[in-house]
Amino acid sequence: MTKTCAALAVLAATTVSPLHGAVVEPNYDNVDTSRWRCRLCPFDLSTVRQGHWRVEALAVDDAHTRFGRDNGLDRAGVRGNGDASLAYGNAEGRHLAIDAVDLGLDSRQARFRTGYNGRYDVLVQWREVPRIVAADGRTPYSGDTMLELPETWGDREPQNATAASAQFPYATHRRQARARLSFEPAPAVRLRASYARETKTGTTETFADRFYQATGLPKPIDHASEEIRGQAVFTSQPWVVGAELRRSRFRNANAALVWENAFSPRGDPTGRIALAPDNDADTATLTSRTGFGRTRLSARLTWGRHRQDDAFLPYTTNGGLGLEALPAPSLGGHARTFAGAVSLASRLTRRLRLSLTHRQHERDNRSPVLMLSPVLGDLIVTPPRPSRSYGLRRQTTEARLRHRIGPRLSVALGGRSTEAERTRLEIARNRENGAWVDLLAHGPGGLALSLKASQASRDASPFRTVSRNNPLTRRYYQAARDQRAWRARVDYRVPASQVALGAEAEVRATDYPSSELGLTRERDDGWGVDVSYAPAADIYLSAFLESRASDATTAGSQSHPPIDWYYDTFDRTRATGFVARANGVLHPGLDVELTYSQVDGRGRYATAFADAVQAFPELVSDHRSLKVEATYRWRRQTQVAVRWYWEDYASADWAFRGVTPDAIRNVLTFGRRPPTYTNAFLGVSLERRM
Amino acid sequence: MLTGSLMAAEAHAAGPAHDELVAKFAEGEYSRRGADSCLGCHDEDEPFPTLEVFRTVHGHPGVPGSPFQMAHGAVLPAGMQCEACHGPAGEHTAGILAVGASREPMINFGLRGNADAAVQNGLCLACHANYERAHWAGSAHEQAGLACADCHLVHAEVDAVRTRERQAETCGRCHRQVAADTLKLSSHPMRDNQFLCRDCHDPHGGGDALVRRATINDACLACHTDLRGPFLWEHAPVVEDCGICHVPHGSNQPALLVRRAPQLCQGCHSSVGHRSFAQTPEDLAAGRASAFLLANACLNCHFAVHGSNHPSGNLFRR
Repeated sequence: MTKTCAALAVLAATTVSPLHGAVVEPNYDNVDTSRWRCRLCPFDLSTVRQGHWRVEALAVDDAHTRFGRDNGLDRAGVRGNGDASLAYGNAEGRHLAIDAVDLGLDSRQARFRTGYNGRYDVLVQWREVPRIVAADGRTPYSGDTMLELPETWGDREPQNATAASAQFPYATHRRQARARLSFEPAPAVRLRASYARETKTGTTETFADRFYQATGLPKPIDHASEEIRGQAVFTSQPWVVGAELRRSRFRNANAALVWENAFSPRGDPTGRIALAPDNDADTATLTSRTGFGRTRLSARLTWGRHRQDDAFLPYTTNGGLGLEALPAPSLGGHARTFAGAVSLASRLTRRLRLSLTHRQHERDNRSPVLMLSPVLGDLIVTPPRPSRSYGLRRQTTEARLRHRIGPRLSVALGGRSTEAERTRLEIARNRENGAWVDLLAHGPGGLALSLKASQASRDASPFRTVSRNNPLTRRYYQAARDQRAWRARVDYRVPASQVALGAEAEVRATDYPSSELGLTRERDDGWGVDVSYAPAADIYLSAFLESRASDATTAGSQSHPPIDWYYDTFDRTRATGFVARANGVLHPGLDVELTYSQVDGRGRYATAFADAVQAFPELVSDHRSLKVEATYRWRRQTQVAVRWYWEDYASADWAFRGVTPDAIRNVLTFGRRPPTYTNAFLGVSLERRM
Repeated sequence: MLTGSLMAAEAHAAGPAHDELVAKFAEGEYSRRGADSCLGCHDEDEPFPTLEVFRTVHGHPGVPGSPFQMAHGAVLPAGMQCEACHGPAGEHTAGILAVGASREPMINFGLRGNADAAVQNGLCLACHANYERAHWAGSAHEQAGLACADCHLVHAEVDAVRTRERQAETCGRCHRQVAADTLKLSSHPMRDNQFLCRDCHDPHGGGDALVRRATINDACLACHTDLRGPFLWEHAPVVEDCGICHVPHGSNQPALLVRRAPQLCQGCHSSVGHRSFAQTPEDLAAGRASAFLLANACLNCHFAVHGSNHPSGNLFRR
């Protein structure tokens, strides 16, 4: 209650501050617009009656799942595609627009919008988002929420599952519909209401086990999410005040997934896992902003309520265990959240700038704590234990002072303090204090230099035992840590040319000084160089090379203690890009653009154990793509475009390499392989503008 | 994070004209003929297409608050035509110049900006300090010295950053590392512009990492509604911050993970038994083919890591 009152007081303070100021103070005292006829203004351009249609033939060389992961271009062959649009607007401010994009692809979108500027606005939108993750997964199961093994399964062992399995698509498809109405009953007031609905259907993967014998299961997805939103905004400079209500609900058509045990010759007993439960979330947000003098003050406060009350499934499918009844038919889950942010930005003098921000986030899980006797692997009844719910409170205060020492030099100093409190965890409280300095200098010519250095230190409250974890372990998101970072960037615009050069580097090192086990250190390094050249408005060339690496060390102990093993994990990404654009240079009316991207990923993992360091095979994830687009304006309103896209992807992953469905003695996997392919598509389109 | 562009590095130096431009605003010597004073010289033959602004709301005579709003009673700077944004003409429109002389400067924006970002933005915010930009002051982009025109094309008929096709490209000019992340093994569907930066972020000032929702978790759960809970058995880091295990833009590990299982999981879990076992290359498919290392590793059994509502799901296995 105290917190809510305080938050509302801050919000109120932002709305009652009486003065308004700006960085630039225009002086309109001497304005005389009586002769401002605007005779040269082509206002006829504001009346718009235009539209276009585009038809395209798309030819995809080969069928590769990842190639068409998000756009539906996963099948080989030729298909048609097209866009269309129509727009109308008049000098009074009425407008109407209809557009549809990629109608021939699974990623199609359509939008209708109409309104009257300053009065109302209506938007209706449709969007589809495909997601094809893999098509090479194999499973012996058939069915939807009741997964059955082949009738002949009894004659087979899981170790022979490869032959008995069939491929299934791991893919989902989202369909999103949205409608929004905005209404401005007065110049200072805007009311807005919207409704959005998304359905997600398809199949994904999950796993489940019966006492250390695990099975990959195709999981049906049949989700529907809806959100209703109402918003009222009042604007009268310097005040902006807004209130917003959201009500969201998630519904899953499937409550459980039942599967026959692949490790039993008869396929039974069956197992049952819970699927995502239905839930509801409501939020109320109040927003305010104002200014006084050279100061801006803003606040946003959001209160939330999450509820989940899906009926429990039984403890187990094993009816022979003589279990007590569940303590409740459902959880009656209920969590309240609060997120508040208050920010002040002030120009103390012409050269001195102060920013203060305070953020607070709370999650108060008020779900009842139930005493339950979980059944392990559908075989062993474990002693009663309380259900787990967590609460969190985190607040951050940040201050930043920037001083423009001169026209070419500025320095910023900043500090941040974060405090986190958690319920029921080993580290109940963290406090982190950090500071940074940021220097920006502009040298002679086009030289600019930016340097930033920061340091932060996080302490942790005394460790308390709440689990069977090794007490030497500190979970890294709760652990004490020291973090140091620096970043430098230099830019140079070559005088009397249109060449810009840039180079940058950064390092961030994190140590967990109290963590004898678990993640003990991390280091991130990055560097990059870039160049751009724009000799004329219609020619542009740019290129860049960047590298980023992250390595970490995790310590472990099998012998409790001493520490007897370490993981060293090293991930590196190197990205290269090149863009060339020439509009009307090679031939009048011909625009050409070429884009090359290369992202090479490497992962080197090693384990130090028993006086030996053993390296895993290198993880590889290499992407190369080249896109060439040429558009020729054939006539004033007609153009022909050709686009060609080539992609080469290679990957190697020891977690999947050679892992056929029956490769692991006690896990029936999908036998998926890391993707490797080369593919391309060619699109030829004709576009006509009206 | 590498930003990859001088634009994001507080690059708008207060140029030599800065103080003069600010002083011109204070003096308020506006032209006698408004836009007609400008358009005589600044036409379509300019390298920067001036007249295209009349295809936008800024050049629309019927849009309330527009610089070219021709209705009487408009609240200034509405109706101030070119000088609403570019400032009072002063001596800029003076007649023929002597050889070698240059005209008095007018304020320019974006790449050609000749005043610092705060001055440029102050002019935009004179009209656009509305609900959507209520949190601009003090936001990460504002503190980084970004000018509105670094992202927005005010004179162009189509403002690229507001289109599905060009938004990611505009953001990627500075956030190049993020653009590269979208090409990694696992990523959100951003490569083909199915998801836009704006779907998660509010570049005009949001919460942590400029997300549109109150917190990062709220932003994630806006789409991943199935993970919202509250669950009977919760996993503490899921409640605290999705970013403890996931990176949002792209990862060379499956499922946008910061590191892969089991190495990631064993960073926290170390109790007696298999959680404390060292996984070595001897456990690969060609060796002992360990269930703790291969395929989904820990998630081969503990698949419900985001929380379980099953009475026997205390170990996230149901």
